Amino acid sequence: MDDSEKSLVDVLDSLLNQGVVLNADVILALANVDLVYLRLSALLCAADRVLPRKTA
Amino acid sequence: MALYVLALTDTPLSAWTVGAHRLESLQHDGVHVVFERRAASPAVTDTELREQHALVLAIAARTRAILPARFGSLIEKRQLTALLRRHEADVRAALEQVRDRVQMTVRVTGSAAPSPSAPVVSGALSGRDYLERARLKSSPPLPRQAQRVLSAVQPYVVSERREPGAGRLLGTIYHLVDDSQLADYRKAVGKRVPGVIVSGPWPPFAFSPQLW
Repeated sequence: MDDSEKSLVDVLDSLLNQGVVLNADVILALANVDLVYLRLSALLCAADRVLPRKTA
Repeated sequence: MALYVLALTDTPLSAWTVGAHRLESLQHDGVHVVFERRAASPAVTDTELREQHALVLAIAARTRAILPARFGSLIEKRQLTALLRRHEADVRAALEQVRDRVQMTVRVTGSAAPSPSAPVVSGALSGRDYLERARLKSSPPLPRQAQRVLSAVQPYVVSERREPGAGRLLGTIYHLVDDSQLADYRKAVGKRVPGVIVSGPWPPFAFSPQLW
């Protein structure tokens, strides 16, 4: 995972999943962003495959 | 036009421009709301998300205490004022908590550590057993190498929030760290550990209150 992808994961998580919520409309408006989360999940899985595994 | 809220802070900020964005602020009882005037929320795209994140970083660079808003926080001024009046104490407490602090994020991926077995009960579960099973299911034990990293940084953590993961993402742990302790926190993380992704420092997104 390069820095840009790592940064994207944090941007997605921070802005869509965290932060001050000012009204319920925001939650509803973001309820259909599953595709964004699928991408986040794919990035994390990629990171898991790329990073070296602990040797026994 | 409505106000597209980017962050709350305790610092008075004059209007300024970041790229194509004109940022303004309004004050309510010592809480300053940084916003941009917009007719509608931006679409959820990589570009818009990255732009908003850059704006939050620009605001964070000008203040010691910031509570970033969630993407899509478009609100009328009257509603915003009412909201701040209703949650004044929560906002003040949150600003106090994050002052001169940053967020570090620890993501743990891989396979969960073997779970301590839930109590075996024949017949109906007691309330306590049910809650214990639910707890183990929602936050399975993290792998040993992740637990080692979390223990190492613990002395530098002011506050912690954990969110369970899904699939290969086992969980996300958000740490609030003093600016002055950041170097020590990073040193404690040490070398890259497989299955543990540490990022930051970030504005304290995960330590922002829900106000609606």
